[in-house]
Amino acid sequence: MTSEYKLRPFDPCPVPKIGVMDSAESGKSVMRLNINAKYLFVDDKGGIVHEYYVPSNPDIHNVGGYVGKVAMFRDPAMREHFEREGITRESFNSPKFPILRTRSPQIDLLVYQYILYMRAELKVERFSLFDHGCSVGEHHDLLDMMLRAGSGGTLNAESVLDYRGLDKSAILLAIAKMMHENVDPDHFELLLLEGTEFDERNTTDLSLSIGVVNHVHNPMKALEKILTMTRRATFLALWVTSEDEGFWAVNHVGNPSYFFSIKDLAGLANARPDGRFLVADFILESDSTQPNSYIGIGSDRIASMGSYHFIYTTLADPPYSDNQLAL
Amino acid sequence: MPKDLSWCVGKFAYPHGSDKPINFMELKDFMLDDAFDFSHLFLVRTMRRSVIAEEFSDEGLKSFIERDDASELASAGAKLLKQIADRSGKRPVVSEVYPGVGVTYEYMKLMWERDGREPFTYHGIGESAYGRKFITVQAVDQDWRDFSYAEVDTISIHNIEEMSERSDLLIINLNRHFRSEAAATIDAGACLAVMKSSVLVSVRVSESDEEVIRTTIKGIERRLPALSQIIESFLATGAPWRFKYLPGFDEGFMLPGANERAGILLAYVAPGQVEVAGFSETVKFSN
Repeated sequence: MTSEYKLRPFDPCPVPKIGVMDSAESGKSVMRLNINAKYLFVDDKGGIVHEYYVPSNPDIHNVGGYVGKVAMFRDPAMREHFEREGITRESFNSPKFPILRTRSPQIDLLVYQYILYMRAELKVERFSLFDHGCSVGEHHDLLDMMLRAGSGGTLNAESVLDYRGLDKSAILLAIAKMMHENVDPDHFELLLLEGTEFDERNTTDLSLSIGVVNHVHNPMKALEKILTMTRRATFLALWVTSEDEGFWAVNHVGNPSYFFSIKDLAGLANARPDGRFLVADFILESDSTQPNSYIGIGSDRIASMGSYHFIYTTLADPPYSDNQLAL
Repeated sequence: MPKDLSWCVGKFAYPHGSDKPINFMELKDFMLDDAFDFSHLFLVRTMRRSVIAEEFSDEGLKSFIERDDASELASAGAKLLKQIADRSGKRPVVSEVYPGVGVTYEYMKLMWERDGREPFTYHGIGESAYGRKFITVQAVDQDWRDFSYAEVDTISIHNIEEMSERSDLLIINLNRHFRSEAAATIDAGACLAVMKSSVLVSVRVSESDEEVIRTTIKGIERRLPALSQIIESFLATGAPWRFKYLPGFDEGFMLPGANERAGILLAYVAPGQVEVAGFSETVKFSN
């Protein structure tokens, strides 16, 4: 059998040191973009030999990762792993389940630890949880798995959580509904809304937002609303800049995405003075799995960007050893 | 000498009117095949529950679905199964080799339910990479609980024979396997000798005189049997095979190769005079 082709991967658009959107002026200009997704094959002169277009809608791309996560979080082998190894940072770093090492599960572990603490210390049996940007409800599944494994099957997400998920994607919510048809609707609610448009008068014990606050219409307002409506603890992955001022970038979908400054966070903490930001983790954008996520941003500016895993809590003595963010 | 090519898959952002991208973000594996297959499956499931699946009205997904033969295969499968079930009067059993996450199965459920029938029993057999995914998305479908998935990475003729024995209809979805990155594959012709039940096959073919090798966009080299030869081998069994050929169907999934066209051949055989519209005793093509 003779090979037709010898293929090697390439980056068709390496990140420049200075991006076209990096200057202060460019942040005020408007650029019309065409975005598509495809397989691209080029010859040694850069000529296009073949293209194969695929859906470019990010909601559809997200379906793969999130439904795939649900499949992993419902795997009996994962439950056995938790029952054998415990539900700890160590068991989450096991090479057997690489998914547990990733951002969202690490934050779900914090939520789980908080729930256990509140149940044991404050004798609270049931919690409301607001999942801001819930996609297909995969956080519900991992929390369900941890609660079942950690309790010998006496607890589950339905018995402990009143879950309220919000997402602006009708596709993801339709799938979330179909994936959770077995869950009592009294304890599993889904809201189709833009991420700033929820009603903060519907208070919640716990809230969760993994990177979603950054790309809603009004990030400062959305984060303030989440902190205000949450009685006990907010769990956040938040993209930030070390620059003095926060700034807007354009993400790979063509949507605006805001990078918070420390000054922004200090202002928000003032709006809710009975709590504080604890830092669970920090990941430099250049170390993330998708550093090319922002259009027109050069490597110099990417070096100033990163994401915090925060817990904003009103508890005086939370069940973590994490440090308070100096604001 | 093999031709050297550079390749990538991802999302490109171009300033309007320019062909020079200002951003490229690689799409990971799970944002590709799994994403499209799950979306396709849930689109069909939504169609089962409402007349219009507005949530999934996406042009890119629609274009992708047009390049997937799942609905064609399921349509033929459902029509065959109805005739088989009507004759036997029993709850039918369907098996599918290489079902992926179960898109063909989902279409068959849709067509079965629209006919007001009770669920059939279903067994899938295929790559272990799909096992958990298949089970997870099928287990939440309340009314269709009688299913299984056997994880077998290298399917043997013996597996095919066993599946055939336990089924009223065996679907061999070689096109689904062709699209995957799995290495081993069974040969459609070699399966013929062990068939015990009605069979429906989907296989990529070449219109050349001989088998050809083509490279898929995944960089996997696949053998494409010659259309004329595979039809000959089907008919040599003496069974009343029926064929439907889809010339040029999703040909872009393969890198440019030989001059001969390629396509997808659907073929079935069933006891008695079972006829499915669109299928015929022979295939005409331009070779």
